Amino acid sequence: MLLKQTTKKSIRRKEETQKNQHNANLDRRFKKVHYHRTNENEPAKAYRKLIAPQCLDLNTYRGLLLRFLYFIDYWCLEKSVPIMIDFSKTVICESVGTMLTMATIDRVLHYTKNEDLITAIPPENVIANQVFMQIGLSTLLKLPEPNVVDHEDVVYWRCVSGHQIDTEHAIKTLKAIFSTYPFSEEAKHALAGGLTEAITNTSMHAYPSDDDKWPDELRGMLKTEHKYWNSSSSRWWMFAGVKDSRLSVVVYDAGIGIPRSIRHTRKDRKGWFQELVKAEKSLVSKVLRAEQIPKLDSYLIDLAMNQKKSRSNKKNRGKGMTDLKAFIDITDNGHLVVLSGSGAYYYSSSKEVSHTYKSSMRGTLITWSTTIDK
Amino acid sequence: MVYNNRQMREQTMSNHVQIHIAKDFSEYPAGRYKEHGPNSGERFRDEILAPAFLNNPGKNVHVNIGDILGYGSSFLEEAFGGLIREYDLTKEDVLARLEIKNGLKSDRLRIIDFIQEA
Repeated sequence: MLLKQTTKKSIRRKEETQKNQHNANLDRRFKKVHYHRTNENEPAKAYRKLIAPQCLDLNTYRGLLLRFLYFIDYWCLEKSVPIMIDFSKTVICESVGTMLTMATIDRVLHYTKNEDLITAIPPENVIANQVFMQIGLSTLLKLPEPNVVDHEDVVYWRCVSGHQIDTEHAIKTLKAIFSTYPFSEEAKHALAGGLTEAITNTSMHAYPSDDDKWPDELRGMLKTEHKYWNSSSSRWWMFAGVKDSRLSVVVYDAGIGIPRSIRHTRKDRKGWFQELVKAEKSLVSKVLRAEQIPKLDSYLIDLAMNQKKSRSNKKNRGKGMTDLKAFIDITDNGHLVVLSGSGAYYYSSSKEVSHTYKSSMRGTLITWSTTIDK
Repeated sequence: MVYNNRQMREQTMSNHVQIHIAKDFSEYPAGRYKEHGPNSGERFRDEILAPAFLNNPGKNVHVNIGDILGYGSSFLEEAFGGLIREYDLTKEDVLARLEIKNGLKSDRLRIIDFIQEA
């Protein structure tokens, strides 16, 4: 028994060491300084070279992708150091991971208003290169664009962004997809309604303004994040595409995230949380201690999705979350995924589960997906 | 847009007032409050829906919700639920005079729910 425990401990310790070593190697790689001379008469400028992951895939390589995106933020926003992102080895562009990468770069460039802050080496992989062009990442990074986008997995990728609740481009993107693929009127309206509501939430909750009355413990965090928010960076991004006969629609904002938004109400936070717990006893599998609450991002997303109550604490508010589920309730094979902070919430016609990751992501990402009949 | 245009004047002659959200307001209605965007529920309520009720006492108000792909709850709640909260109108009066035309049945039912819950 003792031997068994010792073995388990040593395996765990070995895994921890390997992981720390891997992260340290990554950090070292991301922190390496390179020099680039644009003109022979000018001194070489220092920049950091970030090697992009081979797979821009949030589902399978979440930790790696989030660390890569963190360093884009770190060097460009915290240190104001130019970076060159090397995408040459990138071969897999998963929809969510690619959109997150695009959103991060777009947000940084919009905030800093410095187009030269991020340069990049394009992917050598033909499909990845086409994806970059199709979603506008090539234009954003001034990369040479391929002559033609013809791969069947890429042609229907669409990516739009906006700020405030301007849903025109988003709805037009959906209409373009609906004109090609058959969906029932109810399904079309449910998806468009959910999308509209997700964008509404971005404007109303994701980027709280200074005059919002937040509790003391949150004010510090907001001050830090407010440094990198302005009217043009308080944005949302939407992706829609069809791959392997599966439609995916994704909305992302880089705001404070659902857990922080719902946890910190304007009024008595503790009292409100206890009220929620009391109201949703079925969701609580064990008694929660106060110090555990901050870790339970997935639990709080679950509450947000199942409660008709929002950060505002008003009776008439917080109804929008149910709109997000409507499309899934109508379609047979639909899935809804909500990722925010370290929490994840999955909803389909057969199950509703939540999960907490070790790594935390900025903002909120909502995905609807379903199979489509050709 | 304040709803005192030609159509409104013509409609005062009939026994009801017609509002077509897609034509008279926006094809892309979204959001709750004015500060969050130009096509919010608050703006639709204050500039079109409420004047239609208040300026035409005793007349029915026909709201055509068709030709729009998907309504968010925030927009519908603030527009129709807010009508009861923000104006001197009763649920009974609004429900008796309001007629929702076209659109999906689920959206029509949602609007009735928001008025009753306001």
